Parts: sequence; C-alpha cells; structure tokens
Amino acid sequence: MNIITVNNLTKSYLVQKREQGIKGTFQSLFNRKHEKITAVSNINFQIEKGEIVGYLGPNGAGKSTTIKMLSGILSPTNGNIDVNGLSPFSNRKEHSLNIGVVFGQRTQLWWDIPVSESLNLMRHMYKIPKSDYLKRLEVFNEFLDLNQFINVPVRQLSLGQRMRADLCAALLHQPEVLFLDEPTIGLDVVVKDNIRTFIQQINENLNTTVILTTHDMSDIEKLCNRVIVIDQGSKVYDGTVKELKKTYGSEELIIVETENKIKDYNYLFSPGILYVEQQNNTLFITYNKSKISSSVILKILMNKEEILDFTIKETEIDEVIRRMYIKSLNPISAGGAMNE
Amino acid sequence: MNFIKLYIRFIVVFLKSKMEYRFSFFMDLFTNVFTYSLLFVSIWVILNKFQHIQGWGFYEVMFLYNLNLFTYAISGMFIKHPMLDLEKMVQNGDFDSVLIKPIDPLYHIVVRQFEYTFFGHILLSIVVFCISVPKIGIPLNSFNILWFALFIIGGVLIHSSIMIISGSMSFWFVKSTSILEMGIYDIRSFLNYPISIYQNSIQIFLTFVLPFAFVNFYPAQFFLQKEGNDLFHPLLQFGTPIVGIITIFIAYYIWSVGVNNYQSTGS
Repeated sequence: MNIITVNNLTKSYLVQKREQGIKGTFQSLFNRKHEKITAVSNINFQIEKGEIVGYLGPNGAGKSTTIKMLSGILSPTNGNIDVNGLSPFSNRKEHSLNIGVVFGQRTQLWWDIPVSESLNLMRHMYKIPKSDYLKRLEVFNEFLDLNQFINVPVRQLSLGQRMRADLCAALLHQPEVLFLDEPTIGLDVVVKDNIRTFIQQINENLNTTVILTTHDMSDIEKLCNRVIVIDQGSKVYDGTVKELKKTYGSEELIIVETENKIKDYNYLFSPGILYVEQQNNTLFITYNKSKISSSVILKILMNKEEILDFTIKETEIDEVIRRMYIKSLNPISAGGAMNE
Repeated sequence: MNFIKLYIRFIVVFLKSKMEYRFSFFMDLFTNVFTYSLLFVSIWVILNKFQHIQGWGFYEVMFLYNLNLFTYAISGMFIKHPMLDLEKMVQNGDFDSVLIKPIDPLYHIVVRQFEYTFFGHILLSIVVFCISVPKIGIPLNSFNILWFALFIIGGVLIHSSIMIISGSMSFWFVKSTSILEMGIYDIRSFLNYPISIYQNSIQIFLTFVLPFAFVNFYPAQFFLQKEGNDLFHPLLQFGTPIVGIITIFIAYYIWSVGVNNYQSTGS
C-alpha cells in the first residue's frame, strides 16, 4: 500500500534579480527584475507504508524543499502530493496529526523551559491521553535516555541531547510518517548510532514510514533499503542501495601486502584493472568488479610473490553518490573517470 | 473550551520561563508604568497651560486617551510581540514549525507568549478611569456600562487587527517591523488628542483608512457629546463594535493570504 504518492511535483520561486554595483542597486530600487528558480522539477515517486527511504542530493538540490512540501509547509507550484489520503498543504491541520518532522538544524522545543514542559505542551496540542503519553515516554527513555536531561532547559542541552528530545517530541503522537531533515548533523558517533537504532526500532515496532535527508552515508547504509537521489531539482535515481552501488560503485580496491617490495608490477595490468599504486611493500589495486574478480588478481600475484596479507574494500556509498553528483554536473569528465 | 485551556497551559509555561530572569521581569513592569505615567503628566502640563482643547477639559482628554491606552494594552498583551517576532520567524524559517502543528498558526504564535509588562498599562488605565469618570460625571447606569464594554471590545479588536495586518507584512516584505512600529506608535499618537482638532485629511485617514478614531474619539463622543460629535455622521458614535468585527475579519484574511504566501528559507 502506498502511503505517499508524488506526481509531477514542481516548485519554483520568483527571486529578485540584483544588479551589481551602485548603479545596479538604484536600478533595482525602481525597476525590479525577477528570476524564476525551479527548486524541484517534475518529481514522481511512491513510498510504501513502513519503508525507510533516504532522500539524497548535494546542497541546494531541492531536498528540503521537497520535505517542506510533503509536510505541508510549502505549496507545490505544480503536481500532486498525497500523504495518507490527504493533500498536505490544503489539509494542513489534519495532515499534521499524521506526520512527525525533525529539522536537524533547528529545534521545535521551547528554548527557555525544561524538556519535560515542552513535551507536556505537545501532549495537549496533540490531545494525547495521559496514560499513552507516559507509556510512550517510557519507551523513548529506554532508547534515548531522556531522563538524564528531561528537567534541563533546552538552551542548556548539548546538540545530541537536543536532537534526542526533538525526535521524541516529533514521535509523541505516533505519526504514520516521519520526516527527518538531516537528523544526525553535527552529532558524535555514539549519539548517531543511538538515534539510528531508535529510528529502526520505531520503524519495526510501529511500522512508521520514514523519509530522511542526510549527508552522512552511514545513515543510509544502516537505515535505508531504498534511496531517491535528486540533483538540481530532478530525480536522478530511485532504487535500492544495493542496485545503486552496483550501477555506480562497481569499483573495488584490494590492498595487498607482500614480503618483498615488487619492482615491476606492470604484468598485473589486464582488462578490468584500473590503477595500481605502491607504498613500500603494499599495493593498492583498483579494479572493476564486473570485469575481474579479486580472486583472479590474487592468483596472478601469488604466482610471483609471497603475499602476507590482503584486504578488499567495497566502494563507500558516499563515493558512489559523489560520482553521481559529479556525473550530473559534468557528464563527460565524470564518465571518463568511471570507465578508466 | 479546549482553546482557553491550552492557552492557559502555554501561558503558565511562558511565565515560568520568564521568571528565570526575575530581575528583568519586575524591571519591565516598572518601566512601563513609569513611562506611561509620564505621558499623562505631559497631557496635564499642556492642558494646564491651555485650560482646554476645543472644549475638551483635562479629565475628558484623560478619558479619551485612556480608552486608547486600555484597549491597546489588552491587545498588545496578546498580539503585539508575536507580530514583532513574526518577522524574524519568517526570515530564519522558524515559522516552519508552526505550520506542522495541529493548531491554527495565528492562534499558535499568539499563545506562545504573553506580554505581562502590559499589566502596567492596564493597572494605570484602570486607575485613570476611576479618577476621570466621576470627574466628568458620566452616569454609571447599565446602558452606559453595556456600551462601554462594547466599545472596549471593539477597540481591542481594532488594535489587534492593525497589529495583525502590519505583522502579516512580514510575509511579503523583509523589514516589516518598521511598519508595525509606525502603525502602533507614530499614527497612534494622533489619538492623544481629539481628532476634531486635526485637518480634514487626517480625520478621514483615521476614520476610514486606519480606523483608530473608533478606538477612542467616537466612543468618547458617545459619552461626552463634545464639539465635533457630528464629524462625518453622528451614527459613527455607535460604530466601534461593528468596525472592530469588520477589521478583525479583514486582518484574518490578510494573515491567511500571507501564510499561504510563506516561502520558508533554504536548507
């Protein structure tokens, strides 16, 4: 069952065009020129209930704009959004009961009052029965360790604590859909991990649909099975993380340590080997997985050298995404880098 | 009345947060009473010299001024600061979080705070009413009291509308606080004296464009029947409650258009 359906979604803004220099400033005082900027253009996708989807793209790609349209903050210029049977912008109030939103960059809690008071206000805003409220808080506390800072004013919280409190506030009313806009930005490894586990738990136990934007690729690897990548407002990829890696990340790196330094490794070059680097007794061989396998490379090497140790590194997902971004920016050069 | 219950909860939390800074809490209150007392002194000084303005004596001008101060303080307590903050919220995108809550955005930003410092104004104006009403000799019958209440409600609505409308400008213009300040301080200062002393164009402006005159001049005429009570039309003396209702509807409409026009910010 699709919980989110997006059809031909487009958002464009009119932005005032500024001329340079003093003359330009005066000109724009009287004669303003506007420029149309398309932040999101003609995007289509469906998301099923219970999915965790990563929404990726470089800065300024239109990720936040999409999230804001999905959560009802912005109106689409064109196209339709259906979230759980409602159109977010025109049914904003009912829609808000179905969704939870966390913006990593800013808090939705009251700055000067303790977390507990903020959460209690949320309870009244969403009309959550007290017994449910207490039960949910207890569950959240188990994963997020809220009790440690629940009576501290928000302004005195660390970023990690604030993030945990914000997550809790967004989930108190048990929304169907959770939007996370860079939920792990600026957090340390332990808190990041904590938050990921929590999101996973919520997803498993309540079948909450999660859409998150992030620049941290380990968020994607640990949480999502599906990613949507957009660039300059258009969708460039929609599929599983595995598929993404296979398409864009067929390169692997094998690091081989030999007993003696190899003087001449030119014999290694065969179809599929991309480049070889050497540092003392260690060889770094980058190859195309679909053309040559690591065992073949090792066999060739073992015939001639004494191998002490080796490791194989898969392409990191952020490397994959990076290549995708570069490719869409400059298809020729990136294409060159990819196929030798 | 879920509406009011929620409001009280918000206010209690807000006051708690303010009491974190206790000194400034009481300082704010004190400064407000002090500055407005000075205003009354200045009116007294002027009227002491001239005896009266176009037939309006000191207590009558005090009553006139007080109608303005009292209604301004009540709506200011609820509406003014949310509207002043709106500009910042729109600029840095904090308004986003208002739009994803299950309560009306206008109600939401209003309940989030409460300008307790206006208690100073309210206290002062109650004192001034207690002094000026007996001096002028307005009979305290139920008819007068009913109309007085209607005028106060109408006045509060007019002040609130003007604050909401000028605050809503934040959705279109970057520096809209200056509009609010102009609406609240500069134009409102015309109300310190009966508008019949001004030029015709100012009278038209304050009656039909920015209907501040309905806050105090026309209601005061209802009680006092001074010179100029037939300004434009004698029926205008009863107009305040209706004008209040009309302006608040216009204000809410402009606000709603503004909210739909909201573009958030990058990131």
